[in-house]
Amino acid sequence: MGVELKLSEQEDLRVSVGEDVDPPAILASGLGRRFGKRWVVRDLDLELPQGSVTALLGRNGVGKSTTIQMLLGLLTPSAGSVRVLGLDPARQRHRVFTDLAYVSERRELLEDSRVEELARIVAEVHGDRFDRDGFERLRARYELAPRAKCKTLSKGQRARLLLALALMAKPRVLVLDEPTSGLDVLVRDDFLEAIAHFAAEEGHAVLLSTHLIDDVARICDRAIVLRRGGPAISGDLEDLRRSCNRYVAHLEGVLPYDHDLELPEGVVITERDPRALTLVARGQGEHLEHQLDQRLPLRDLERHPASMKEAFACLTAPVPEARTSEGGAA
Amino acid sequence: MSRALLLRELKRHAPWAALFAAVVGVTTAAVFLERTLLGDPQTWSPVTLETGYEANRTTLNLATLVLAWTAFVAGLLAGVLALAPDTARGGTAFLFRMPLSAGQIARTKVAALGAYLPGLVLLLTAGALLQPVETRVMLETGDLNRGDPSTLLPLGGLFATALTCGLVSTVILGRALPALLLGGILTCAAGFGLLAVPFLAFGTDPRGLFVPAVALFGASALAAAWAAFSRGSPHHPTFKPALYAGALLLPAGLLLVGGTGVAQAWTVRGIEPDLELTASPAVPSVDGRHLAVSLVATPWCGPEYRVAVVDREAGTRWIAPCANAWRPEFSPDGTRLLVRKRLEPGGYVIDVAQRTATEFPGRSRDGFGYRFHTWVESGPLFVEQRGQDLVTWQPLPGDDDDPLREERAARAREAAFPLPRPMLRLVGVTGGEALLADGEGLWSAPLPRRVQLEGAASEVLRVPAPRLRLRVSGALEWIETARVSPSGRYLLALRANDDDSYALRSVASRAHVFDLEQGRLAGAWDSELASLDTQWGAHAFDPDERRVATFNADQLTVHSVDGGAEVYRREVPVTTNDGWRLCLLTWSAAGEQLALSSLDRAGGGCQSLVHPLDRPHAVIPLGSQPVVGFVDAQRLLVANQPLGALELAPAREER
Repeated sequence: MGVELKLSEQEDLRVSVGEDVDPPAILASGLGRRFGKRWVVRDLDLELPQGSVTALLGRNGVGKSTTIQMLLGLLTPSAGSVRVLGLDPARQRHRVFTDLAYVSERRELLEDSRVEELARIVAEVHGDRFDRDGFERLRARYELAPRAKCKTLSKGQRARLLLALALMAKPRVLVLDEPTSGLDVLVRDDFLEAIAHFAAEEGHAVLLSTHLIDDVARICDRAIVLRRGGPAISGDLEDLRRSCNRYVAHLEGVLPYDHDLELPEGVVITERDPRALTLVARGQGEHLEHQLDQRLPLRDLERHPASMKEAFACLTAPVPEARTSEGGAA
Repeated sequence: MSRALLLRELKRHAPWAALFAAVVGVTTAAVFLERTLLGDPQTWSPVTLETGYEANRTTLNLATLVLAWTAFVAGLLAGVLALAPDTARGGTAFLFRMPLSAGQIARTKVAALGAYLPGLVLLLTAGALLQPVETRVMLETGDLNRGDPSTLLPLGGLFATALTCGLVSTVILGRALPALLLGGILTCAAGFGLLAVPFLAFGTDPRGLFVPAVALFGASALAAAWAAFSRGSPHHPTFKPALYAGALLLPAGLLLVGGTGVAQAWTVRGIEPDLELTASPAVPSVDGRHLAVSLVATPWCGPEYRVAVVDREAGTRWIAPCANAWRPEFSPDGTRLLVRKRLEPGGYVIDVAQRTATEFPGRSRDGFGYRFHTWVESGPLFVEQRGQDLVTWQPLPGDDDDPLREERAARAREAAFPLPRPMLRLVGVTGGEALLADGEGLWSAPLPRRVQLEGAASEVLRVPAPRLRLRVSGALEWIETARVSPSGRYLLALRANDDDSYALRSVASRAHVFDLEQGRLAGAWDSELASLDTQWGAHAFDPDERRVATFNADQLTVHSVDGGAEVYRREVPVTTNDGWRLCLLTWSAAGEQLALSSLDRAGGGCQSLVHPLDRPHAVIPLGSQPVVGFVDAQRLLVANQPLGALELAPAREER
């Protein structure tokens, strides 16, 4: 698992790797996409090992959906290359989608079809792979009326229908783009449970793009963090959390509200009151006390382990232009 | 192919198919009502108003328009409904996330569209079956029921173009109604570009070009539509597919225009073997030595007209070195020949001895644009009456591409002078004089020649009224029509006896022949005025200009110019296929025989007879081959045949 492979070796993956090593579900190298002159995603190296549930994280507009579309062959990359289960999705999109299911943020359906018609179409396209009985069970569990027209379904119903169709097509890779946004708590739990069950089976992989750190913490074991202006960071979820620490800086006197704080790079303020600041920073903070002492009337600095939410607030912070050469763990 | 997906496409199309049926149905019903209540629109067509000899001018055919409209609407709807609703609502995106290739999705959509094809064919077939029953049918299919590819190809091309424009616009806009609007605009623009660009660039007849151009463009457009579909974003409306389509269509368009030009040039260069005589009378020179005839060939790029000169003495013939020319007329001395361009401004003067052509500009979209012309030393002088003004124009040689065109036009401006008497009417031109008639008689007025003054080229120069000279006195205010003889010596005028002649179908009238040289009425005789739903009738001076033959009201007569005595009369009942007729009268070279041919509206021959004038009861029937001229007493030229003389059979007596 997690074998580092260069893309040139990936070309003959099925021959060279043999039976001992499973190829990554998704492998991207130097991936980039620009719209006009603006690069939305640039130099992205990414690996989604089989058997993993990987979160794709990043702030709004950092290129998560663009990345997913490039990974699936729905958008042509401006640079770099992608392999999904050893296939080039740009050229073999329909073969890629034989073993991959995608639930998009927009939750598109064939609006004029009924639920049962849509299931029939998907079942016919996938052939024997599609578990019709399993779909019926899920449909009943999700309380989806078979005669309901797709255009009348609520947001949650659409998400559950898409997930049911995706899961019953027996894919090896499941890609979900903001699947739980806008869902109520019960539906969300159900949804996450289904994803977790899917991921528990051998050889399956899940890529989950979301803003909801609770979801990530609940089902994901890895994360890829996209940052504006910098390379992506990826790795084990717990390692990423541990790579960040929370600092509570107690100040001498009162810090004016409109005081412009010049913080060291990679440091994010999570809480601020007149006499104390709560900061999150990557690393152990050996130099942080010294740097803060130069900028603030620092009285005392406490260090604590960062929570998952705090860690991702820090990791997703934009990188200043001059720091784009920082290496990532992708 | 997924049956469930196909079924879903069919269900999705159903409302659009209903819309198509409604649109075409309403259009067809409108045509039906229009034809039922207002009559056949062909009766309003330019053919009825046309007084020249070109009887086969294309008319506005509403049935063809209905077919074109059907193809346009069907293609546009098919293109738009195939994608637009799905693109706007995310259906296309959903399909593209299943293990289906773009080809499989496209095949399913095309198959669903194809399911409606039998209905379309049924509609057209019903129209084809209705056609022979009655001319007022709901859907007349024209040549389609004969399987003529010249009709099917443009319709198919129009369908493909509309389909493509619908597809492209739908991926640009995503929503159906805006896409229908944009697709319609794109189709019209494409159609206009297909017809107008080659026409403006190469002067190609749009009718001829339409067949290969639309077919080729349709194929290119389908390829572009495929590129737009397979390479466009399935997630949201985007301009990108239009760029793909444009990238394919632009070279296709350039290839089309360039290829059309080359192909046309290649075709026109080798056109001579295909030229045939048109159904217009050959024009003899005054000395009788030469005969000028119009020829036409109809290749794919539209009709090509030429003028040929037959040398009766030498037995040779040659084609004048000027393209797209027709309606030849010899100068009185027989050394020059004036021909006009067809559907283009201007024409040529051909030197008969040198066989060279000099181009002259025109002031009309078709030829020179004046009703009368005469000859002066340097070329033709054109004359017409505009209200109470007489306008003359003597062009300088050159064509419209000449860089000195403006300067030349300024040097050859129109000159106009007011007619000094009210009610004067221009009836002819001869030499350097205009012939004018009114209630007092026939007058002549010298014509101003080329005017060379400073000023704008378009400005008409006003000159003082010339002094009129009364040539022949007499009440000549009701002249129906008049013709000057080829030599310019005589004027044949048909004059009604009263001013009700226009309102009545047959009114006694009187023909007058004026000797312009001696200033006298040479002869006159009573004549029947032909009914107004036919041509005025044919007339022809014999080669010596001693007799004049006229045909109207089924009476073929020959009168002596000097005195007006009738020397020949024969009743010739003329019937044509469609009740409309045009008659050609042609004298043999020595004036001993007279051929009379009738043509129908389409220019086809209906009845041809040669009458030996020395044997009042003899006739030589020629079937339906219109005679356009005699090479000599025994050989003649017939229309719709290559330029070669046919031997004349012996006459037979009919009593």
